[in-house]
Amino acid sequence: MFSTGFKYFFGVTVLSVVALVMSVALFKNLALIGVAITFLIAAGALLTGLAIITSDGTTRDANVQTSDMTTQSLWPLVTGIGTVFLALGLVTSSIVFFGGVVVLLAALSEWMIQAWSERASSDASHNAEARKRLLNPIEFPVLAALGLGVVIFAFSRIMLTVDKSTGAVLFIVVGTLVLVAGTLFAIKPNMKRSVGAAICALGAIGIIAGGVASAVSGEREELVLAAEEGHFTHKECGPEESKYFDKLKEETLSLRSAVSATIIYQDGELIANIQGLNKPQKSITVPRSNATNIIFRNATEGEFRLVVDLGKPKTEDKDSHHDVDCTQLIETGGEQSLTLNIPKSSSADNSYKLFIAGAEDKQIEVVVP
Amino acid sequence: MNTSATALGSGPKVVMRRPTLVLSGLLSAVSAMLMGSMLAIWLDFRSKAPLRESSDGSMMLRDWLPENIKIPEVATNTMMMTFVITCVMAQWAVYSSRRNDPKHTSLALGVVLLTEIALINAQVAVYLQMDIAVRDGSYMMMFYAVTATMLTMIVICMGFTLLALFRSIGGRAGDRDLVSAHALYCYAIAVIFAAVWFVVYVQK
Repeated sequence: MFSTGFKYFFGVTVLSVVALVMSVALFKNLALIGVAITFLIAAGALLTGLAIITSDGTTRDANVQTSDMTTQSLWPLVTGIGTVFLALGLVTSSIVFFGGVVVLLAALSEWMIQAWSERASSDASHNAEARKRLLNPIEFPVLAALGLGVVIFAFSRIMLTVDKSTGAVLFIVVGTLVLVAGTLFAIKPNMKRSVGAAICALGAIGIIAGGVASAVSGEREELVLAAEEGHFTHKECGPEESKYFDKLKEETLSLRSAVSATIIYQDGELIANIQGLNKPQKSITVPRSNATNIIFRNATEGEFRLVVDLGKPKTEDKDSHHDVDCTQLIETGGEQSLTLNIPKSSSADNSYKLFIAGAEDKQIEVVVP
Repeated sequence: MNTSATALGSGPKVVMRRPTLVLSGLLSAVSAMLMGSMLAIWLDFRSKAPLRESSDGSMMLRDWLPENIKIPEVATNTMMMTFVITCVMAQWAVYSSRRNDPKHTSLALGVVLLTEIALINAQVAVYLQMDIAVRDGSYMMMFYAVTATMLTMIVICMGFTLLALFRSIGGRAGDRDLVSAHALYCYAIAVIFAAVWFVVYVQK
């Protein structure tokens, strides 16, 4: 008697009315929620009326065959969700927008092929087979990639939440469980499909639930502190040892190609050895807006870092600090490369230099023509 | 050897019932939800605006509408009245179409088109009289967002009217579904404009 569309939109309208009544009772400020729900009621009532007038827009009564052949489809709903993402993405972020585009295209494709397959012949099983033959080769790899992505993302959340030692143990435990499950599948190939599906489903639910719980509780404290301080995003170029920047420092170089100069801190003096020049230099020339590699070698007792002063950044603030780049602290005999990329020519007002942190008088001029 | 293949019968032909009306209904619902959400945000902004004294100092007002902005109420009220005429004319088109009267259907749709042009003209007049820039503040930005969305809906309705009028003049006298769908969209945007008129132009 009542069509599916009518029941759906009537339900939406009634629920919206209930939500509005509850909002009036519970919330003081109804500006946002009250108006939005009122319009939802109006839209729901309009679509309810249309569903009655048009019997969901189908010829259900006139052509019995049509209703026999067509199946209920999820794709109109998914298309609607994709459209909403598309609109939201325009005002929020490009990820949401492109996600909406992908969802919309995928849902429209599925919808069209389902509609086509339902009219392919008078045999419903043949029609279902036609749809599967066309879409399964696309659906399965995409679903597998999506599933894998979700599992990887959930597992990454878990690993970012638990502390380092627990993470290692967790990795071993999960790896063992995967190995056990794989072995079980291998030695019992005739195992019931339901048992296999249950094992996979339990594993997936466990990881996803763990991922959601971890995402809600947030990253572990040291990572939060690291993100706040940003010690992975900037270099600390002082003479003292940096807790993070100087961690696991590299003091040997394997790649020595395309090096413009070797800067050596020798016997308390900073000198530059430039290819083609026999004598040590006190200045080097660097091409503008080109990546230029130099090597710093420490030949003095103690640990030192080479710092490059890149002048003041482009800002109206006259008191702003100079931009600097540097190597890690290098022990005696160690060496490390530094890549310079200077976009502006040097001048009397804008000079660049290389110096040793803590011994600013030991410097080499950097000329940018 | 049997070389014959089993041939399956062709699938059922899908015949939609009143698809234009369904599409128009969906478009109306989408338009209503879009404008509803915009007005909800508008009211939320207004309710959170700081308080200020009125010019005579007798009461406290929400500092939402800048003091130097005057809304031309004559033009906006005229727009509201024009929408009523639009709806009546759209219904006349449906009435004539049901009676296979293409002349009156075309006439009614022509008047609808005229009222829609008048609505656009009135909206442009409102913009010119108010003389505000989009980037001047949050009120201005939201004002243009809401009213320009409304203007877009009117333009869409105008396109719908042109289509219905073209088909009517072309002799599609029995095109009741399209004319009914057109009337439905006219009613929908009239109701939507009533909400915009009340919130943006009357309550401000």
